[in-house]
Amino acid sequence: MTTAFSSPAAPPSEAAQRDQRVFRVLLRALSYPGRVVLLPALPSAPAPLCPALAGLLLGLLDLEAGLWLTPALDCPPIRSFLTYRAAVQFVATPREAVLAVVDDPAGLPPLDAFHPGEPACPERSTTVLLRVPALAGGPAVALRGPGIEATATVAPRVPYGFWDQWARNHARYPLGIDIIMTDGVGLVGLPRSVGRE
Amino acid sequence: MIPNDDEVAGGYNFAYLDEQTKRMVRRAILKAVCIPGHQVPFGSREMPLPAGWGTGGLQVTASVIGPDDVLKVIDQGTDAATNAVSIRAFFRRVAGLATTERTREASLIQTRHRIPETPLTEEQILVLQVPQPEPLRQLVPRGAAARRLHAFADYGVMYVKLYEDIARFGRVTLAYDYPVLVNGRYLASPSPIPRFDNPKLDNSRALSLFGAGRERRLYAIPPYTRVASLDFGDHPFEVQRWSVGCALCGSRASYLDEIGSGGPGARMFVCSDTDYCEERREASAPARRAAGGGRP
Ligand SMILES: [Zn+2]
Repeated sequence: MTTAFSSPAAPPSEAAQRDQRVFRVLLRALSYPGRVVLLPALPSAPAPLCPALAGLLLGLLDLEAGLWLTPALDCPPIRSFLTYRAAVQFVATPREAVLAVVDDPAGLPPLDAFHPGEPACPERSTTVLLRVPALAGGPAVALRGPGIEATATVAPRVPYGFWDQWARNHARYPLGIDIIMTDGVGLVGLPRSVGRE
Repeated sequence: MIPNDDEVAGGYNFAYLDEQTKRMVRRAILKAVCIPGHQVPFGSREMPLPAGWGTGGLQVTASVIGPDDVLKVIDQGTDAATNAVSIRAFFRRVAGLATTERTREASLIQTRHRIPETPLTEEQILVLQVPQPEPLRQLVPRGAAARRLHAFADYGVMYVKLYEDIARFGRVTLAYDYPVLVNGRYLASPSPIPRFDNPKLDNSRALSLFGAGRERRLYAIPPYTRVASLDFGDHPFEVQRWSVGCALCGSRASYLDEIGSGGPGARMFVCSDTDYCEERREASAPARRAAGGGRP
């Protein structure tokens, strides 16, 4: 495949339309951090991978995006599900991951276990897709930074200590990781540029 | 490579860019939004497009746009420029997209040389075509050296250059592509927009995406992000001003182009943003529009 543009117009496939919609949700969530943005309807995936995480992943994966799955998700049915639908390169550690998927905040490695990027290439950092039990009802935190008009208050159900780790991640800016949280229905974007007030 | 649904279906190509490339561009866009003003490299594919189309902007637009979007394309401030007309026709044809000339009706605006006068909203995305994404290029010819300066936020060389201008001419003479500091961290090129447009990037409600095709870099200015045009305490940044208003709509708040008109020696200035100008004229003459004087 050498040319990126090919000829005649044909309607986009269902998968392509879905990828585009999911991308726009992601783009909006990271552009307006702290706001809950709703996902489109997504097809099912083998348990314990939820449709939301599966949809996000399939929209972003290719061979250049090393994928790390949290041990709870790293099983043959999920590997073959992803391998059948996308070009995937699995990596063994969070440090090597371009994309990391964690289905439970209790299983989230320390944030500094992921790749923070390099001074000249901060974009070479890990994007973490994190499933949380709920996007509300956890400890409330006021965020400030690009994409936020004044402050944005979020309260996802994350373990005690998460926000201290996040403060350290933000303090490394422009290095650092970016997190997308989902409760299965909506997304909240947490780019490294955003810090606790 | 493992076939995915799309390739099995025979390589359809909504918006003319294959899904694999879109994925790559999309990942780069998401990173760019997380690091405002930082140039993110993307892909390495040849884009067989007619020269002058601004492949960077097109690739960004093609990766972002979907069936629900309404696209507006501006070239030199006008929707009627040849480039703008062909890009709009292109997306209508290959993607069946709705297009508009109205800033207010558009969800995605691809532009070069101008940012619309009508303030953008949270429901809009601005895509700017950028020929040269590196603001330090004139000063630091080697890309690796420029990247090192960005890594350390070491922008003294740019301040020196601007200050030399002030020493020689009493002011910074840059009329276009006036460098900005994004989110207090990255020096960025606002693209070849007049410096009149720079303040529109500051704390905009809309996301702005910048695509440079030849250099294969893209960068972003998220909404509600501080965008400061470089200046000095004793020489604050100023935008262009005119002593007259638009000859067509009377606006004194818009960027004006000089056009030849009237007798010899007569100088006339009109809005460069044709949609803004027409909207103002229609607002002041509603009867004429109702009678069929509007646009097709
Ligand atoms: Zn006017």
